[in-house]
Amino acid sequence: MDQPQHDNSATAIELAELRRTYQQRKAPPIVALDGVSLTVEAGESLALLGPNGAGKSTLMRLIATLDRPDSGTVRVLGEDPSEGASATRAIRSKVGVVFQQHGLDPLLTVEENLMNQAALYGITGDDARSRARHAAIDLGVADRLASRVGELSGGLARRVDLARALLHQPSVLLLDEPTTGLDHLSRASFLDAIEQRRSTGNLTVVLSTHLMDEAQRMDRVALIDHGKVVAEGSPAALCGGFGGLLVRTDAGLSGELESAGLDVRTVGGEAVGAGEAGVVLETAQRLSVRAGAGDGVTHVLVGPPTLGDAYLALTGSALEDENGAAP
Amino acid sequence: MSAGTATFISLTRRELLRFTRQPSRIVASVGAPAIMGIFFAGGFADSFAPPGIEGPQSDYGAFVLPGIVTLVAVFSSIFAAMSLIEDRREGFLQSALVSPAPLWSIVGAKAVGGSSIASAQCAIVLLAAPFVAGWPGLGGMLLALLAAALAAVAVTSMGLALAWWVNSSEGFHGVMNLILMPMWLLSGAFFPAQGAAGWMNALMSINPLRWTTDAIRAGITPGTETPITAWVVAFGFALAMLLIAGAVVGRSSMTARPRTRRRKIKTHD
Repeated sequence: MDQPQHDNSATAIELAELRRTYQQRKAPPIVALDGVSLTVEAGESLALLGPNGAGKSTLMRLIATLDRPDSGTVRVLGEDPSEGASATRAIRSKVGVVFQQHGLDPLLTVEENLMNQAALYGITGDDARSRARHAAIDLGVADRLASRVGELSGGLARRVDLARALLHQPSVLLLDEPTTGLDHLSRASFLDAIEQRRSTGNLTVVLSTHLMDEAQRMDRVALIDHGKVVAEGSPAALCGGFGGLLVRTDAGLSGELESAGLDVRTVGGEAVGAGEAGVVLETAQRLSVRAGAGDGVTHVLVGPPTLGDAYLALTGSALEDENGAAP
Repeated sequence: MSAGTATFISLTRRELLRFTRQPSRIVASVGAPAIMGIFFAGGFADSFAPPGIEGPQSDYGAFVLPGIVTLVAVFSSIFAAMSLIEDRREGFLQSALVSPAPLWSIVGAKAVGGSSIASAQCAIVLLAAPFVAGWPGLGGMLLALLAAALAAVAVTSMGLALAWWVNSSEGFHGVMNLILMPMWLLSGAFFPAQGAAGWMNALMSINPLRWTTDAIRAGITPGTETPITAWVVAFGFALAMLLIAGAVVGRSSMTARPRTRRRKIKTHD
């Protein structure tokens, strides 16, 4: 596939003070976004990390011009969709979107789906066919061009969906929880494909996810909670605020962790102690000995702080894993 | 080629492809009305002669055929319109709406594709006309097909306008049945307006499907001319429904808040 069309502006996406409220008939309005401001530079990748209900999808819909904010401004590649249909069209022609559910017709073949996608962008004939084939080759689905999408596995369908979103060579790729329902291998393969695509061009990527390992792969992460950005920065910078290491053990041992001088939080039945690496290791070793002796300690885990820990520290609530359970 | 034209052509083709790949849809939209037609025609054949009808149409089988054609147009058009809800559920609609293609090309392809499929199915049923009512001539057959096509355009457009706002196929079916079943029953499909009670006759005269059915009937009846009122109403009905569908979809376009599924609303996302 050809290189994406690069935009001259250094900033790909600018969001300022976005508010979006959903009215309900017999309940108070839901504030999905409450003053969100974010900037994404051209060629950068940003993860919107937060649990279900944090406001990520609403934010993606605003960037994709599928919705309008109640207040605040959206500017994508220098265009403001509120300025009219022409600006909206300009944005849409340069943005590719992968939604939580793939946007393919299961009754059509992979090639027919890609040709339809090309037509949506005014690309027809040999150019469309050529792009469809190249996209299929790039995403490793060339041998399935004649297969109906309904016959593909979830992982393959996702790859075709990514090929669909990239067919018109967008400058910005929006990925809204794109790996939902995929197994670990398919998920990794999908994310690798995006990274490979990024490495071949100046593609700006915005990924919304509730999975830490996905967010970890992006240049920058914005932690979203109840419609607000509570922190943003590189994954390393966000995790680095916790010092060296963390030790996780039984909730009942939080007092011992505190007495060792660690900063302690209790999450999902676990006590988590953060502090200097040396102190953490010494405490963990002591607890491990007790665990081995069956002295009231069931588990001891030591590791570097994760984005989930950062999220917890900042919001007081845990991120969810793939199945919706707290980690 | 503009994105609008390219999209319109490509998505119309998609509608036709989808139809050929859904055998159950073909069976449901033609089979059910055909069975009803056969049973009604067979069951009433020797029991009733339609009042006020002379000539070939005095045979009940010949009389009921235009009503069956109307029913095929209605059934098929409902299925076509309902596919918009499927597109929304499957995520296809959202992917199309996020592209720069104009809305008219996306919804227009649905309307044209759906109406074309319905018309083709009506044409198949109309092939029975020479056997039950005599050969009306090619012109008569084509006029009957035109009337059926106008009914298909009207019902497909009406369905699309509704499907744009209704999220569930159950809700869509409920509303469409509420509107279309009385319209079809009062279309003169089973009994002529002449023999109906006064109040029902009045209702039938304001029912656009009655006039399209009349136009179909006149087309397949040898030596019969279609009343001008029937054509005026048939064209007006199709045009009005097209405009309503255009207005409904166009309104979304102007607010930039088209009806795509927002599952996350319930979870505050």
